[in-house]
Amino acid sequence: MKERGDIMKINQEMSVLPKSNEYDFYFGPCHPGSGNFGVKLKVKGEKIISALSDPGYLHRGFEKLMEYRLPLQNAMLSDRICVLESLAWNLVHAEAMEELMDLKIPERAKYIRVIMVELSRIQSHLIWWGVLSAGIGFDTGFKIAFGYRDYILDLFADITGGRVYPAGYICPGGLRRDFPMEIEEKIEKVLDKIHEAAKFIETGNPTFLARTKGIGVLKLENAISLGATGPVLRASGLKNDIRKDDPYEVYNRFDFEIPVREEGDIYSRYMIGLEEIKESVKIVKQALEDLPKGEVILPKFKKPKLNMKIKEGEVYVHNEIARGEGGMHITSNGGVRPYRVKVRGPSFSHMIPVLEYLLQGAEIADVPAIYWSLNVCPADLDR
Amino acid sequence: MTSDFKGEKIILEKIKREFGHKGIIQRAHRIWISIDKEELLDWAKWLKQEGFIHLSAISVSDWIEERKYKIAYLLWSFKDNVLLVLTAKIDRENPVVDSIIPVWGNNAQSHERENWEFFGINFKGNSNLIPLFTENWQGPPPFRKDFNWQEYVRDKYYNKENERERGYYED
Amino acid sequence: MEFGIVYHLFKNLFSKPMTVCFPYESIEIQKGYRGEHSYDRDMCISCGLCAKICPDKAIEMIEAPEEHKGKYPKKYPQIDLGKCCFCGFCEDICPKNCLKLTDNFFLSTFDKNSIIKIPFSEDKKGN
Repeated sequence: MKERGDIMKINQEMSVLPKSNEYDFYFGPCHPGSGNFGVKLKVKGEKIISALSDPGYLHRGFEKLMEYRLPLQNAMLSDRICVLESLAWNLVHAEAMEELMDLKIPERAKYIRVIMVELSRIQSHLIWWGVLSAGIGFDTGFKIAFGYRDYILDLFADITGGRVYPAGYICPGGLRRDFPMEIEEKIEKVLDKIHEAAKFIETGNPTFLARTKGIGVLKLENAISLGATGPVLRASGLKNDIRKDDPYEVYNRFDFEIPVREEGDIYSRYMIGLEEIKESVKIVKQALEDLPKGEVILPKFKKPKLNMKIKEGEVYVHNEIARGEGGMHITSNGGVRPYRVKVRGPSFSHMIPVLEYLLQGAEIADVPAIYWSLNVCPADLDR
Repeated sequence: MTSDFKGEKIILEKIKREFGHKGIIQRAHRIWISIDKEELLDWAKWLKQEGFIHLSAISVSDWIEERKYKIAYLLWSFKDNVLLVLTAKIDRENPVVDSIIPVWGNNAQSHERENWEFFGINFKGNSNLIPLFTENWQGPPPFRKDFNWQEYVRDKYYNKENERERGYYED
Repeated sequence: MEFGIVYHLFKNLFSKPMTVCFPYESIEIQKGYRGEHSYDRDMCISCGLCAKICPDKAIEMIEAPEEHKGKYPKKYPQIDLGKCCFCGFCEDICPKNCLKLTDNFFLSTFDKNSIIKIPFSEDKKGN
């Protein structure tokens, strides 16, 4: 039982503490809404004064590990750089090695690579919609997005042998296996289901609009000087796409559009994700119609070899992956293993300069919405 | 469809007129130029005016026999669709180079912090060099070729009683 | 006021769910899935290529125990399933096609001794 004297003492102590409403707040790595990444916020009341990013919880040392392995083993490692789009990083690594070794791969392999990468882009955008809805509080959207994503993962298990990690399916020299029989009808059925999912995403819920319009605005000159690429830059008004500006594989034979918006807030980034899903479905349909017959791998890469030398030189390759511009800069000094590999992930510029700029002046309740609308992947940043 | 490198040749002509220097066209959309480190800021300001407004990455590699670091700036132009790679060699024992934040903004800040932490390069003019990935790291910069990381991991983490770890640490 | 939600509620009452009740029924697993290894002891020539290509050092070449040394004089692969990443390079490089990946993925266990696959277990004929 508290005595009256104790209560008087507590009141006296509390009136001696400084009256302030400024404090530190960690939107941190042990939070279910932030992945493996922390942000340290300085908050006054409900408004944020400044933010400091705190990366490094997922650093596995890929750039050093790749110096000690053969190119075929690096193809297996490269799909673990970012788990949400493993086939896209497989393609970046395979293109860099092929340019260093001067190889020309067969036509059927190029068409199948484009089909796999576009399917991977669709499933990555479905995850983006799911976690953005969960960050706002719309939990049904999260469950529906992951339900539709599962149809694409079943296709990957048929073609490559694993649902999430294809274990170097796109390797230097071509592909590890050919398409199984009757897979083309299954792909067409899955594309019809994706149309259903896209119709669901388009509905205009007034709560969703109120929480996303006009919030987290990024203007064009700030976007360029802070290093944004990909959908974030297209939502701020600049029309750019590496698949059209610096074409790789067979993208220059297909007919597709590039969606651009002017406002730069969360709603425009969300609508660009939806329109990109529809464009990817168009590309897969065109590729399936023109698929040629033939081999899928060069003859000297059919059986793995332990001592194939790489020519001396350096090369930089960049691709338009789902999150932005992903690149690899590889240097070789004539040995069997690469000398130095540098991986440039799109989230390196989105999570450190752009996030710290956008969070200044925002409210605490908007932090998950702004964070997930940039389509971040902490694994790209830490490698 | 073969390209005749028209856009790239125009840029090389302008560079020859301004600096008297020759670059190499490696393939379509790629130009490689190697310069001395003292001219870095002049080149940077001129290239930014010409349309190279996006800095993709700053990448460093360690050439231990020549005793130099090779630092490469990868720049992309949205107007002409050309990627230009600017390389320079700096001394390995005392690496100092000018910072390019006045030209390319806060985007360059995080790249310079990463290379300061992993290679020990001092960027003059950047006042915010604090660690990005490591916490309380006291040893030498970890990506140098003379830092023996296998010995460090073996001394700190090898548990001799676990039979399954033997294949990784004793070979 | 939106009445569309009532329509969706009725439609979902009578439609098939997206999931299946897992331990009692499961979806079909196609052949080509990368699961546990199967090894044919009599066709192996002990070249050791599977141990050299493995990116995780999960395969180690060991000698046969005493009672089998007459018939199997050389070294044979022992696979540690805890380190394996199921990439399938050992299957591609084997010159006699005696190491293959099946589609068994129910590999979780409480018993630490069953993680390492020894090539000379008595009850099985080559697995």
